[in-house]
Amino acid sequence: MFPGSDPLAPISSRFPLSPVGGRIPISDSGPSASRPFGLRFAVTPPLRDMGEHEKKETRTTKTRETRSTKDGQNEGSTPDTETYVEITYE
Amino acid sequence: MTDRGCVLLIADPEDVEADFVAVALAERSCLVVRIDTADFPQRLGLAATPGQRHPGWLRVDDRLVDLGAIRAVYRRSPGVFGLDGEMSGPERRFAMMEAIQGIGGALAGLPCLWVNHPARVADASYKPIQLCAARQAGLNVPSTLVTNEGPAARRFIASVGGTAIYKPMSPGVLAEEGVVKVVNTNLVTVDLIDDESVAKTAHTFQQFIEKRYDARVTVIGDQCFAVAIHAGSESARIDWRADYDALSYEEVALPPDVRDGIRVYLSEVGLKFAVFDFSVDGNDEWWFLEANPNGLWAWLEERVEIPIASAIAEFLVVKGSA
Repeated sequence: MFPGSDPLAPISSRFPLSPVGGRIPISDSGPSASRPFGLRFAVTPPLRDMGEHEKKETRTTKTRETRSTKDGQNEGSTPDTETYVEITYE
Repeated sequence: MTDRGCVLLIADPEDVEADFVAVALAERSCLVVRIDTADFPQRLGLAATPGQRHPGWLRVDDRLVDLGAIRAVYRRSPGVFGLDGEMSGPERRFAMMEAIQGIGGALAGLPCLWVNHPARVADASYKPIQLCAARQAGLNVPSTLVTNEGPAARRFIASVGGTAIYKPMSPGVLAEEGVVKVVNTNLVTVDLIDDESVAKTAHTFQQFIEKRYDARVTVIGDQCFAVAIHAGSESARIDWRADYDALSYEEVALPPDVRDGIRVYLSEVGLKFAVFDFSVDGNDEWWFLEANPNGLWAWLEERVEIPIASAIAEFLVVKGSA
């Protein structure tokens, strides 16, 4: 058995997956003759109205000045990155 | 949050809840970096040095993020790693496992505040674990049977009055015939049970609570936002997700004993955030249905005008600095 293939294995090894994670690939297959009981209740879901909104991503990058350590060795520059998302509703 | 610290958002780009929190963090002049694990390893780079004084870097396109500056992580449901499609199946499996261990482990090991830590989320996503934890926390839990045996299902349904609900334990989503379908909660009677199809996998049957309304309680830290969901159609009375157009909402007071139970529950399962679903019966008894560590709340914030995003952002900023 491959590591991670055991569904009861330590779940932290599944990052970023979880029992509820991941997108589901669309299949063209239809119901089989071995369909589980619960799937008799499968329906096309209604859409939940979230209101229309646009996302406008704005990125800003900041770079701090070079610093030195106590022994005088150059520590180098350390960029900070600032990212935020603006949302406007129509 | 110190001037060097930032909050890391790990979420799908279309995640509305993460959008709301990003805005609320920006309003607090908080440095925010947003990534999706689906971008690894194409657009998202990693140079981690676990166990060293400096934990390393993330590269998001052409930007570098100092892992040591991350004070808090807000994690929703990020995507599966975007591995090179040219790889063979065995190669992809190897690459997937290395990615899980590599970037997953490097991030999960950061000594910062997580809302929520992926390991806690994974464990707390199991519905049977939720029911056990809720019972131990003193919350009312409906009688529940998980089985792949038809006779046991029939006996259970008979024992709760001849009608129970069937509900999936997973999100109950499948994509067949070119469309996405969901499995909602449905009423079932003894005569509906057939042994062959029940035997195909685990099935969950639960006592049906005759309710006045449902309630969704969004919790971050010690703050609870309780919203009553009133159903205006028959299908919504069984499962409110089946008919959003028939719903109305109002903020509702949370009974102190339920609040205490929620606090104990979160402590026991190690979560900072969760969305609890309850049914409230004619005696004002609150019945625990589930607690989703990745639950949706943004549409309730809009409908009822409750400051959930602000509370989450404040929690990330304040607790991330502690």
